[in-house]
Amino acid sequence: MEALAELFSLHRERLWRIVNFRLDSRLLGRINPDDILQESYLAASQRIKHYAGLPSSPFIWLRMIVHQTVAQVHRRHLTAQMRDVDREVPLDKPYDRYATSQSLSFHLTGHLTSPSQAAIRAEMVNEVEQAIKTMDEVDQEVLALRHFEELTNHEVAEVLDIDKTAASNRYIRAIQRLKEILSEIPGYSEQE
Amino acid sequence: MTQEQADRDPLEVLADRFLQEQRQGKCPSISDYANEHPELAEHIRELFPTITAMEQLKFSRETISSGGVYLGSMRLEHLGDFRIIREIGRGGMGIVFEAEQQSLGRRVAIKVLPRQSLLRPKDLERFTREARIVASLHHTNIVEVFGVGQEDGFHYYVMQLVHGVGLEKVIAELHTRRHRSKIDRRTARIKARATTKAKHDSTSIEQVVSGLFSLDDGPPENETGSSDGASPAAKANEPMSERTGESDRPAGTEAESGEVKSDSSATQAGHDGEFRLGRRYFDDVAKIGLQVADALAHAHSRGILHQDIKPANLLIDYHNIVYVTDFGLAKAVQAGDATQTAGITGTLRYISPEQFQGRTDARSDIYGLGLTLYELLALRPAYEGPDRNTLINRINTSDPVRLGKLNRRIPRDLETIVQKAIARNPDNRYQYVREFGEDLKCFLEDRPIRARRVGSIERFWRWSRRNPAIASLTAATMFLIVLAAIVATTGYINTNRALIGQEIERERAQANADLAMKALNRMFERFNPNQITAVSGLTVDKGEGITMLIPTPPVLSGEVAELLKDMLTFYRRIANAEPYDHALRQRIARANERVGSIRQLLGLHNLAASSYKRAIYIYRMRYGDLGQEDSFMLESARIYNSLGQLYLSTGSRNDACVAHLEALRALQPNAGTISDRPAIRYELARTHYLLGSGGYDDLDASSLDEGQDSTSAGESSRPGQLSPVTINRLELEARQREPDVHLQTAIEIMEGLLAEDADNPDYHLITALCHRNMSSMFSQGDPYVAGGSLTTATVILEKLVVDHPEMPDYRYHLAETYATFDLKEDLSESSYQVIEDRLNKALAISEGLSAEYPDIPHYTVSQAHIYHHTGTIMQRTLRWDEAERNYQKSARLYKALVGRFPDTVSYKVRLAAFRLTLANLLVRDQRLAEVRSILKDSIKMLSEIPSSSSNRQAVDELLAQTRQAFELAGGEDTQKPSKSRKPGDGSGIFKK
Repeated sequence: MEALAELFSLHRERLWRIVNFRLDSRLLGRINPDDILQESYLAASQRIKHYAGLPSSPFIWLRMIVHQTVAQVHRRHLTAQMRDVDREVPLDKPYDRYATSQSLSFHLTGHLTSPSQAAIRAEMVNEVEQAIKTMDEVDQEVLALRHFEELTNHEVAEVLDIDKTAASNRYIRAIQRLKEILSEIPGYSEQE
Repeated sequence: MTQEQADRDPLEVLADRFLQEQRQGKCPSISDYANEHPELAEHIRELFPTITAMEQLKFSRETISSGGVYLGSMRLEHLGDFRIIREIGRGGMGIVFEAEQQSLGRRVAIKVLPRQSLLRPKDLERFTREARIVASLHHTNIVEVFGVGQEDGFHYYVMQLVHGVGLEKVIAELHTRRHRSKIDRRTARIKARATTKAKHDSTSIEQVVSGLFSLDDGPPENETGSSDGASPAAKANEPMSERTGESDRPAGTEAESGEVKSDSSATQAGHDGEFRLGRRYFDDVAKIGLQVADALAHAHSRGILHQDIKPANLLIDYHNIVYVTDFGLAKAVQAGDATQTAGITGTLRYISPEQFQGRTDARSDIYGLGLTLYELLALRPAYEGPDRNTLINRINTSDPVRLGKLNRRIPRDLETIVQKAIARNPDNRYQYVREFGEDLKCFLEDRPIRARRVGSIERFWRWSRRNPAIASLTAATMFLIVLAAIVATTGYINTNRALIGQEIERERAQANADLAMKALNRMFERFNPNQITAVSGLTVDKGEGITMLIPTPPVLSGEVAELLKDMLTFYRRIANAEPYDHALRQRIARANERVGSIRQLLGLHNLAASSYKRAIYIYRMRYGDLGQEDSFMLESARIYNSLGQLYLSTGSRNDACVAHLEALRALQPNAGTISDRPAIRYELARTHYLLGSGGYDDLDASSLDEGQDSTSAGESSRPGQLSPVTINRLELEARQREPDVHLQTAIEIMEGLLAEDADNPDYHLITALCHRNMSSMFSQGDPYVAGGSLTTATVILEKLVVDHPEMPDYRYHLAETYATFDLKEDLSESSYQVIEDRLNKALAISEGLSAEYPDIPHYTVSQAHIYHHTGTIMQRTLRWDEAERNYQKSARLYKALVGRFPDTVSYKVRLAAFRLTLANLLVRDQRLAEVRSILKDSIKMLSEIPSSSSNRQAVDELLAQTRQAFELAGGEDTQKPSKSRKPGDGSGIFKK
């Protein structure tokens, strides 16, 4: 049990990122990511006895539990209280962060930061979003894992069940693809 | 480790290291990586910026989700010399801690920036530089910055510790008090949550509010607010569409123009009963303003702007002293990261209209302070909106609800002062923050203030002064403008609703939006009479040492630009909608096209190109779905042609040519077959005319292939898209080389059209222009054909001018045509006489046009050219004095244009070119001192043109020539690079 606590605190920062990335935008501000981590920890402590038999590395195992906990939270909050929450969507977060591509695009236009550019930016988000959706799903996932969950190449390989070389190549390819997509958006690079 | 790495793409291994460094708060430099790994350098430069973008993206997500920045889950205890005591606040930019500086034993505040906020080295540099400047400010009402530091990858700055709270919290607290008793339970619940959030300092806010603000804390009023004297009826009539943060309506249903408030909520209007704020409160607000104005005056006198004055950046302590914080840092930090996305409405709300246009000065700070005072008085923000576009729109187009309407107790003088400070046009605000402070002082001392109330007549007058074009419009057009504003707004809302709602409502919404588009289009056309001719309709004389074709972008007067900007916001509203169904698409595409032309007129070339491309893209979506419908082909061809003209005007001739070829392709999807619809044939002819007149015959086919990529690549990879258009290189080569074939084709198509409709002036005009351009094409070859073409063009235009005296453009083209001639070396005396006669006719027309329409720059340009041509003829016929006089006139006109439109590079280039000719003439008489002085001006002017200018090549060439001439005339040019001079090189410049 102490080992688990140690393990958990070792990976806490990355686990926090995972919660933060996967949590539905409608729940932001209502649910504290720390609470979900707490819940995940409890779940982990109940299930640790089963872990011994699993082949995955400790972090990947914790990550899976965190993912499941987030999913439970979504089920709990987004079905029963959907209406209520919907009404309280903060005005400055008009996008659904659960949809990876949309939220990717919103931020990838983030270099347009001067106010006038910010206005143009809103217009462009839609385009970026469309473009990102054309990316291979695995590529989208690789980007999310490497950047948002801060997984290493090794861990990405484990999560996606591919070998390390493939994961490595895949990441470079995904970045390459993303770059191409961004440069094809009319006006995206012109704003720099 | 090596084994592990051996399995991986070496580039990915490097990327991983780069990522780790960024996450540790370092600013790894991409070029260092590239230099260290030359074999991968190309990939590193290509891909690493995207990696940085992804990291910034993550950072901004985390900022948003945690309601502030996140420093990681680690707990900060020490930062160098500083022992962290507690967190005292967090915002989009960083977390503020109270800390003890151990070496000095003093308490300070430390703002720690998140590690990823300064990922790029240049951002870090700017941050440090700004902080140093701000550290030089010392004023009672400015939070002193002691310095900046960096520890464990965190950047931070150390400030004076102020025991106070941000005014935004004060406003929120007052707001809560005002609503406390009359809010339904639901709202109260949300409030409670909001209050809990700020729990660690909620007590001190209460204290500040109760202790320092002299509230007349009487019993809360009931819903009708009858005790304040405002009649309930009057209030019910006042629509209150502004929402407070906890309104429960879904976003996106709001009227977006501030003038047009629909969708009012009666209950909310009821809620907004007057809160009992008394004279002492108003005095306190004025005192706050006065202190901030003092602080700002101090900073402004040292040339430092705050750039982000808003309640959250003003702290107030128990002694009612206000401290301005985050001086200048806002900009330094925000320019570099994505934190602006966090709580964007909070940030955006205080941005002045001119800042949206990239201009900022002391008056922007005045505006920010004005809005803060407004909010303190109104207890609600001056501008709100459900989304950023709406908010930006409101800030740019509407005035906030007048304070007197919100609360009659607000003293008129104070209201007047605040309204003056927040005028949308900076010229109508206080010009110096000192004046603002003085008026606040007058108010506090009950002396008369300087600011005058702006009555509705004056308001109208100001408006029409800003828009003289509008003021002179007929009442009918005025009505149209209002209609457009209303319909564009409501049409948009309804459209959005209809997307969710039923069919009937959808149809009605579309009818409304169509009406809005029509009204807008009619207004637009008043300012932009459909330009059917090539942008650069001017013939630059070949064979005079100057053979460059200098494109001239359209140039606007400030008033028209202003009006167009207003219209832009309406169009964009429509243009930004989602093309959900086919009927909507056409309208959205049109709106995008209009946004493009307005942006083009405003000189926003890149943005204009984006809008055009988007319009084409939308048309093509449709066109892919439903087969090749004539009308959509036509529309996209038209936009391709606009795009081509845009590119030509910025000097991108490859792209221009490709765009016109795309237009050709859209109009003739199946080579050889031509539609018999007149509109399509007309556009086809126009495309050929543009292709034949742009001077594309000297372009290289291989460079065109590249150009094509940049034009259509954006669409090629999209789903549901036509396969990428690949123009066969040979075909391209064949097409582009023969401008006369294009012109001939255009003439033939026009002849066919004229056979059907002999009275259409547009048909005649294109025909005439084709003939005219044909004549210059043939001048080298067959003089007989050339003369015939020119005569044809002249005859057609003369008739057009007689038939349509109301069209100045026809006169303009006629003058240009008169001024078209072939200047061969060995002309007979009678030929010179003919040319001179034509030039005199041209001059007569042109002088008339310039006198009638002094604001239209291309008329002035034309006049200058005619003088120049006349000068050339005089020089050829050895009438030196007259030659000089004409050259001088032409240079004078250009000089005036350069003065009026300092950003238009092509004017400067032409001025310099004309001066060179003039110098050439003067050298003959050995008037070297004059030559030197003229050329010196040119060198100065040309050297100051930014190197990013699109006409760079022309500028450089001309600069080299001018410098050479300058030296030949005995001038010493200190700036000249030494190497480029070769003996005998000057012969081409000063001809014998």
